[in-house]
Amino acid sequence: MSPQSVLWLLPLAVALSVVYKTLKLRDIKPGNFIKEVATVFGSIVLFTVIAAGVLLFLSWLMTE
Amino acid sequence: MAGVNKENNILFLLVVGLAGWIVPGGGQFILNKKKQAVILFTTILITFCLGLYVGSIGVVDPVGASYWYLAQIITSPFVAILGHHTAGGGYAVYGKPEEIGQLYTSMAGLLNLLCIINAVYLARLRQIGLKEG
Repeated sequence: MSPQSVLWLLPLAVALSVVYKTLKLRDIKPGNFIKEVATVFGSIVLFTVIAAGVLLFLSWLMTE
Repeated sequence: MAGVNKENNILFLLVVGLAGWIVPGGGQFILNKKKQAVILFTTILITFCLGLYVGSIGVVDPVGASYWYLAQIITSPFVAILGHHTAGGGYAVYGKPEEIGQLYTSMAGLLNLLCIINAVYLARLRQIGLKEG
């Protein structure tokens, strides 16, 4: 497993964001829809990075 | 009379659910939400096909990876055709491609499950005369 393989998360996060927002929004207008999808996508990536950082810090604490 | 109505209501919910299973976004299409149906169909199909592209059709394996297959089959009953061809183990795939492929194809199925539940929920809301919100 290479660190780059984590990038496979990105297309999956896009698919998840698109489906979630399609089901949530009552009226789909392109500009608003893209903005909403980008927000969900950004949130997923951000929290994944935060979770990875916390786990990395914990593993560093335990192995030091 | 009320019994017939109740049966029709249940039948309609079943039709919406089945349409959503047979073709991703089909439930929304029946409910006249065509824009949503097209977006859902395209997204779920691309996710599933990306999984097949990465891992080959070998990732759909009803014998060797039955738990993954349970999620994959929710994408559409047509996945069973792939499963029928790969059941003999002639398309074995291992390692990272298998992992990523299974993840993508299974996620497509789970996303479709979400769409089916949403479509049936919307159909039920329409039946009892409530607005979506």
